[in-house]
Amino acid sequence: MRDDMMPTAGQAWLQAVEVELASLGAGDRLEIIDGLRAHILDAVDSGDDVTTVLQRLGTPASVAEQATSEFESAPKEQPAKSRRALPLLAIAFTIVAAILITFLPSYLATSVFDAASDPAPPPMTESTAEDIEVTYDTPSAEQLEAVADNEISEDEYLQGFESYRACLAAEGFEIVVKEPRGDLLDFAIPDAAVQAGADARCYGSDFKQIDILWQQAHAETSDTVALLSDCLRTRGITPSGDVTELENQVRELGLLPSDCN
Amino acid sequence: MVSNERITANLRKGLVEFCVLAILNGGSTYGLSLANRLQADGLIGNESTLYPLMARLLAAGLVESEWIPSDAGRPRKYYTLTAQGSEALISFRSSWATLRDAVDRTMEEVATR
Repeated sequence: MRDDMMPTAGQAWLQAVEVELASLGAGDRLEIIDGLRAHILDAVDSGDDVTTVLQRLGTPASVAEQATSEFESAPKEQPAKSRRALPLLAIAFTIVAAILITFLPSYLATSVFDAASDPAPPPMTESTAEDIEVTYDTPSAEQLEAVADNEISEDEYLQGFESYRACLAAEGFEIVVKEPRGDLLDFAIPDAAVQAGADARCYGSDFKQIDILWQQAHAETSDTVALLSDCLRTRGITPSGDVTELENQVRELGLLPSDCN
Repeated sequence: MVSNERITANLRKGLVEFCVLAILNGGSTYGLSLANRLQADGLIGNESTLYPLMARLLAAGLVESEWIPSDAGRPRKYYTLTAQGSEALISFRSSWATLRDAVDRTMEEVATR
């Protein structure tokens, strides 16, 4: 797979989906992104306009909702969802948002980045409202202040996490904190908190934008990079470059990124 | 009043994966082709729903994937049914035939009352 053939809007859309899929395991997430990437490239190769292709696929948030539903309906192997694997972003998040907003119809750029500027959900017809449940983040004033300068200090990151943890605690759910992975906090959220929607509410309100900016700035310690790097090292290959280059290195071995799970 | 779309969406859950296995039983294919066929048959609402499903089938060992060079020059990701997937499909066919007949019988009995 050559990512240089992927239109910019497609790359931005995939990265937004990857962010939205944070609650899935790294292997599943890579596999879904891999399939979507192949789908977009094949559709564009067949002569379809990339904007049309992305419109047909839906918003990153709706793709994530379907993915979560798919894996929730399957037999559960873990009692709690891990948030440790929020993915690496190769392009600055603000640029991704700008690209999406520039190139795609406004309704395609939802939830993660535009909630602050457009808190009101678009009007929906009765049938769509019944079939699609979209979560709109309402970031707290503290979170908005922390991300206002587009940089997150360690204090802001830890404070944001504590607010998120307190928000979930107030709803009766306890986050399980694990050993940090590099600069990233590693923790698991009770499945019941996800099912009840409390996780989406609290994460969106207190931590999501902070978490994304922090992980973007500390991408070299991301779980995806660690997973792919370990995979290469165990096969005697020295990992190098960003996540795309690591994925290409894995493919050169005749493996899929998901084989590294 | 439950909409037709909601009824269809609920019914499709749990069935689509076996339709995917059945299509792959006829030969390996790539995601776009699979998505187009399922959507044309009304088996999926949105093309993107296919890929989480394929990820789950891959993780379960019912399907495997491989990048194969295409005429266009760029490799395509092909999905293939595994022996385990083939067994799952056989089990489903049997269960489905029984369930389908039972539902049909029930619907006919209610309709004739």
